[in-house]
This record gives sequence, structure tokens and C-alpha cells, in this order.
Amino acid sequence: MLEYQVDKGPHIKNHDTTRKIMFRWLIALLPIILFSFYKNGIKLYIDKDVNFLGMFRPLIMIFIACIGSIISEFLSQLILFKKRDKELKKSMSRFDSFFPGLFLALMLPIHTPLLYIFIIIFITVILSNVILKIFKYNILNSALLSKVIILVCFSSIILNNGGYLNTTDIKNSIKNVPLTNSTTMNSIGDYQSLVKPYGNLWDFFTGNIPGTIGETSTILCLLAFLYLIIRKSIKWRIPLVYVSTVFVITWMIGGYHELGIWYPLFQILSGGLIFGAVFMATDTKCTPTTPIGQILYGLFLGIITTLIRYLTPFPELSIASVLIIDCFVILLDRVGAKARFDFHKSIWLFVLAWLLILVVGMSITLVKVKENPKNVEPNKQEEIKKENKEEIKVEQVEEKSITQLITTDFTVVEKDITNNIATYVVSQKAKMGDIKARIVINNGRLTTFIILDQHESDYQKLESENYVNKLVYNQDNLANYPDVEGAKETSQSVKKLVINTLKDYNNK
Amino acid sequence: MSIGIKISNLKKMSLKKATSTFLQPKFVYIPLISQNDTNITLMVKKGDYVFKGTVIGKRKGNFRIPIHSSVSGTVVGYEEHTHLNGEKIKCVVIENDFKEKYEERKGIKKILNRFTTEQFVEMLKECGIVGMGGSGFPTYIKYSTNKRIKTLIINASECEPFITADCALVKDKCEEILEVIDAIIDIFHIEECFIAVRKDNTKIKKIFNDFIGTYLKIKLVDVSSVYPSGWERNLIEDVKKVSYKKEPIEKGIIVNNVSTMYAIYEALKMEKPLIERIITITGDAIKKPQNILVKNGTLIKDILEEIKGLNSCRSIKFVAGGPMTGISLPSNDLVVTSNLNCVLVLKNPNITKESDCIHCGKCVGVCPAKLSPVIIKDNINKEKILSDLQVNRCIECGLCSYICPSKIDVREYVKKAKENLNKRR
Repeated sequence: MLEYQVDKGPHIKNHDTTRKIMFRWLIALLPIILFSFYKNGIKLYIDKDVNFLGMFRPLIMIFIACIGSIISEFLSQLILFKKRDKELKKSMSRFDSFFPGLFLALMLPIHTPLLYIFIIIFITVILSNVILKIFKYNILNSALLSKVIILVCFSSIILNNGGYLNTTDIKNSIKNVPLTNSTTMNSIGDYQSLVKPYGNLWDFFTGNIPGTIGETSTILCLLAFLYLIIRKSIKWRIPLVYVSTVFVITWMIGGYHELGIWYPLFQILSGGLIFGAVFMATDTKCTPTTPIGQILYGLFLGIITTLIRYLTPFPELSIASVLIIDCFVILLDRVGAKARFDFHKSIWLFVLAWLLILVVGMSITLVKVKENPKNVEPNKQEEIKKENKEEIKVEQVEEKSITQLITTDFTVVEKDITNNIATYVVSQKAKMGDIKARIVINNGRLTTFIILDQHESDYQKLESENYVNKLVYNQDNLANYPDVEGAKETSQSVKKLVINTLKDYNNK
Repeated sequence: MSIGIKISNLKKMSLKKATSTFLQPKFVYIPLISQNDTNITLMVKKGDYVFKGTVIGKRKGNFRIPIHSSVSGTVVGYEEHTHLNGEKIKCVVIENDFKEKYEERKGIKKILNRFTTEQFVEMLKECGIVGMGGSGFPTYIKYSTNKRIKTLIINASECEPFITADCALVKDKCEEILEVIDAIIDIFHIEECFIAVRKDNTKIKKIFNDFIGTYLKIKLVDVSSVYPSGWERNLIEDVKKVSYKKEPIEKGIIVNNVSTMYAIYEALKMEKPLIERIITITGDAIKKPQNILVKNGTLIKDILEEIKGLNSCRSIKFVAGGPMTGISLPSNDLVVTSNLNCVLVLKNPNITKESDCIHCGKCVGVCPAKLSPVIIKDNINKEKILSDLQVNRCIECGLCSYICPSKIDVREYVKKAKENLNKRR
């Protein structure tokens, strides 16, 4: 007997399935995983900075995060959605239950304790499934939420273990990742201070800079993006609009302070922005499905990212803007669906986005101008000069009373004064040798203070308290600033460096 | 630019043989249905003798197209058979006496354009000409308008895979088709005429180019080879670069299928009603896929026996219509009507498994009517949102279900939403 099959859909099918799409994402991520293993594992072993077991640390982090996310997805399908046997097998064989763990591991610093990774990804995957069950819409990106929780709650534990820097970076006396470094200078600085300590812009592009284990290499992320576009497995409008918006806003800010084209490029290539734009902001479940909805999504993401970068002390968390905008995805989709026939209905959102871009650009510029007075009008300039003179007088009075701080072991190695910017390379004798530093003074204010070379045994304590940058913040009251406990002599030598440099500048 | 995607053609298998004929069925089963309405008044009863072309049923409401008998013989009784919309319809059974007699002797006209516009419309109505590309819309309604007709577009693109009925017709009857198009241009004083062919259809272009040189007003135009390029809106966008709101006659354009043109030719020349047509029988379960000229009311079962039947297989899918818009039936019981253009039989089909929606957005990018099927699917029960999303624009082309990677039947949700919305009004 011939069997007749009856169903309703089209009777020819294409051969693309969800499993194949997820498999392509995994292929696109493979070079990034290998690069992170090389940069944070093999290279350190070759330079003899870690033992054999420490070489595998990135892979162990990825493995534990994936296991946590798979187990959590399995349990939530079993208990929350009450699936059994065949349906359970079908849900788990969709091949995407390990992606939250993989993305989370690639976005974390190398010294994160492994137990916290496992626990937090377990909790957030269950949480996102609970939200799916209650609201029937998935608005939570579990990898991003886990990253935010880990970096906000456990940052002190991570820093104690060493923070973002692996042992090679510490050996090369790098203090911070590029974005944190720029935040200490109020995010406006020159090429020398923002980019030079880490190489040139090409190093930023290939990934030879310190940072989290997977986010640094821009060129591999771009190659993955191209591959996924060719295979039609990614929502390509979102990363394009997102990165362009950040570029435009930082270009406006940089243009006001007369910084060149390198400034917006530096902002794009640091802080893991391109990794976040390509892989986190295009997560299929929580992003809009209509073309106009996707463009608006990218615009608003760019605005909130620049706000977080410039105005909060957590620039590494700027990808958390995705979490904020995900709550409005349903609205963006409705507007996008109506706008397919009638473009007018979506115009108000575009106008709002462009107005916000202008407002954000201008307001950040004005806020930063207050903290970095550079292009000041002549009346105000006289007032500032008067203030400086008063401060110098105060300093000189205090200097007289504490003469034992000033010694003759201070030398100026290099001095360069152009316009109103003075760049010094100075050297000061200390307990176990000389401390060498570069100091930049701008219009009478100390803006940059970097220790180039030192041989102190207790310098670690100064570093862990960020003593050097605190001195820059408190430059008006240096002589009375307390020393670091347990490192008294070193702190005093460092303070002497600064005071002597200022004195030399004021005596010019 | 028309929106759509390229689907593999699969048309070669049915064009290998020349068009064959099967015009001598023993019994003919004429279904009493017209424009999906079964409210038909019968004009004959059991035992009557009918001629070829006798009217055996008339529709009660608007748009009256008469139902003709396709053979001469005696009315034997009534039976129920499946129609191409999937339902069982009452049919009039006529036993063929193989004499092919018409009621009156009809002359053959030599010149086709000696009609006024009213006579033309009346002739189309009497001969029951409907759209033969699968729509079944009465053609006389398109031509009975007060507005000035400026452009005539002939759809010879046949965008759905597997179907080659139009191509087979053009191979044999190209001169007649061009003659009737010329006559219509003269009758209605139309300014220009385009014949739309797909870019990669070189056979049909060659055939047209041999004869089209003598007709100065008819031009051959290329359209893209994506799937719903034969849809009215896509065709008018491609050829004339304009868009209309409700009907193409607003811009003075009329679109007709090329097989309908041949039916109009026979109606004008010999007053012959629409009683036979070419259908494509194809698929990998058919031993000899081909195009075949059959009469209305023939049972597909008889035709399959005539062409030596199916290959041996465990299970088949028996589809009435094309692969994207057709319905699969639970048995091979199907009668031929004027809007059936293909019978597709697939061998050993796989059962596809549905999984969860991942909101990838591919269905939104592929819809030619600019709808957002995934949002309709998520809001199937919310009336206010559905009315904003303009669900009635859906043409049921099937591309959203075709492209879904989770194999969800999205088109069903949109159809259900349309039903829910129209019920309330």
C-alpha cells in the first residue's frame, strides 16, 4: 500500500538549519580561541613566566564556563519547561547551549577565580530561562549579565590576583589596560600618553595589548564578521551602525580638543568594543528582527556606550549598554514592522537618536573641558595665572618648613617645552637606586606622571594603591599628602620627584 | 527591484518530452464550483444529452461565469471528488460518446479585431475565460472598466519551480498568441505591450524572437529570476517601475497570463469555451514527467495510468498545484479544472521536525509583501497589534516557511491571523 504524506508547508525545503547556523558561529570563533590560548598561555610559557599547568589557564576557563552553561540549560529545560525524553533531546541538540559560557570566558580577565565563573554563569542561564517562561520573550543576554556581575562584585579579588595583566605585562611594567589608563587622564590625552605605552595603533589592531583574554584582537573579530556575513548567519546592520556611531561621537570630542584621527580609532580599537559589537550585540534571541529596528538599536547602543565610557569609572563595562537597550527591543520591533510600509512612522525615533548624538557629544566635550582647561579665554587665563601664583607661594612656604624633603639627588635628564606643555624626564635618588619618571606639565598643572624605571623592593605597595596617580590628583597639597604604610621612604622619594620637577618648572 | 529569493528551478525534467495529449477520457467529472463558491444552479438533470460546450451550471452571485461541459454525451449521475483546494466537491458525471459535437456549427473568423469592447467582454464572459496561471479570476472583469488602458503586460515568466505548462504552450502556439495580443491592442487602443520573460529562460526567448519582429508594438522584456517575480506587484515594478494601491488599472495597466491569451484566441476565433488546458505532471516519483493537454473534468488517476504511472517507492507526497502554493492530498483522487496547472508527485519525502524560533529575522528579510511574519506569529491573539501590521497584504507565497531554519510553518500563522481578523469585521 502506498503511503500518502500530508502537510501544509512548502513542499521543497532549503537545507539550512539552526544547528548549521550555530556551527558556523563556532567556526568563526575558533581563531579567537586559539589566539587567546597563544597570547595568554603559550607565549608566557615560552618566556618562562608560568609553569606548564599555567599555560592552559585560558582553555580551562573556557571549558569550565561551557560546562556550567550546558548543565544549567539542561536543568532548566528539565525542571522549568518540564520536557522529557524526545523533546529534551531535541532542545539540547540545538547546539547552542554552550555559547553563553564560551562568550563569558572570552570576555574575562585572566586572573578570574574559576569557581566564580561556574557559579555565576549557572545562575544567569537559569535566570534567563525563568524570564523566558514568564514573559515569553527573551530579553536577557546571560553572558553579558555574568560579566557585569563578576567585574562589579569581585573586582577586588581579581585585582589582588593580578587583575587584567598576565605576568608578561607585569614584567614589562605596564600598569593598566589601555582604557583604564585613559580614564585616569579623564579620557583626553595625547598620543604619547594614551597609545604609545602599548605600542602603535597596529598593535591595537592585531591584539598585542593587555586586556581580557579574548577581546583584544580586532582583526580576527573582523574576519569572523566577514565570514558570517558571507554565509548569511548574522544581523550585520547592528555592528556596522554601532561602531560608526561611536566613531562619530568620539571624533567630535577629539576634534574639539584638536586631536587627530588616531583618537577615534584608539577609542574603537580598545576596550573590546569590536568583539562586543560583533558577537554580543547580534545575539539572535534578544535583538530586533526588522531592518529599521536593527539600525535604531545600533544607534542607541552607540550613544549609551560613549556615555558609559566617558562619564562613569567603569569603561570596561561599556558593553553593558546592550543590557539596557534590550528592554526596549519589543518597541523597536513594532516601530520597525510598521515602518516597512510607511517610513514616516519611524522618523521620530531617528530624529531623537540624532539629537541625542549631538547632545551627548557636546555635553561630554563641555564636561571634559572643565576638567582639562586648554582653550581658555584670555580673562579666565589671567585668573588661572593668579591662582597658580598663589599656590606656588603656598608651596614655597611649605617647602621652607620641610627642608629635609629637598635634597640634591635630583637630575633633569630631558626637558622639552613647547607652547604651554612641558615634558620632563627626571631622575631621583631613592633607597635602592634611582627612580626615573616622565612628567608632563600642561599650563602649570601636572597631567601625566609615569614611572619609567625603579628598583625599590616595596614598590608593589605603591602600585596596589595607585599612589602615583593619586599624587597627580592631589598636586595642590603634595607635601602634606600621607605616605604609603610600610613604604615610607619610597613614597617620600616619589613625592620629592614631583616637587622638584614643579619647582624646576616654576623657576624657568 | 522585486524582493524574493532564488530557488532551484527543477524544470528540465518536464521539458524533455514533447507535449502529449489525452483528449479521450471515458468519463468526465465536472465539479460544480466557481471562484470557491459551491452555490451553483444546475441546468441539466440525470439522463439528459449534452453537447460539447453546453452550460451545465451557473453561479448565483456576482461575477457569473458559466460552467461548460467538455465532452458530448449523457449525464449519468453525481459523484464526489477532490478539488484542488483540498475539499470534496459534488461533480456531474458525463459519459463520453466520443463524437465531439457542438450544439451549433460555429464559423472560424479570419480577422480577430472586428469586435467592439462590449462584444469582447461579452465573448469572454460567455466562454468562461479565467486566469490560467493558478488564480482562476474571471478575465472579463479586468477588461470591463471605464478607465483608459495604456499598457498590457503578458506574464510569461512562470516563476514557480517544476511548472512548465506556459513554456510548453508557447513552443507550439507562439504565432497565435502574438496574433491575439495584436488584436486586443487594436480593440482597446492600447499604447504599448510588454511580454515579461525570466532572464535565464533562453528557450522561450528564442521562440518569441523568431516571430515578434513583425509586431511593432509588442516588446520582449527581461525580469529577474527570483521566486515571486510573476506576482502582479513585482512584475509591474520590474517592467514599468511604478506601484499601485489596490488595482493595477489605477495606472492604466492590465496583467494577463500567456495561457489565458491563448484561451482568448480560441474564444475569439472559434467561439470555443474554456474546456481544455495543458498541465504539467512532474516529480521524481513519475516515470515519465511531461506536459499533457487534457479536458476539464478528467480524473488524474486516469491520466497517471495513461502515462505509465509511478516509480516504485514506499511513500509519496501528492501535491495539487506548484511546490510553494500547492496542497498535499491524502489520495490521488483529483479532477482537472481551469486553474490547476501542475500535479507534483514526490518520492519518499522526509518528515521535517520543528524546533523553537530563534528570532533570526530571515522571514522578515525575504517577504515580498514587506510583512514581518515573526512579529505576527508572536502576537497571534492580540487584535489591536495585528490590525496595525496590515496582515491582509499577505499573498501566501510560502517564502517565509521555506527559509525558516527552525522549520516552523510561519505561513500558517499568518493565514490564521488573517482569518481571525476578517471574522471579527
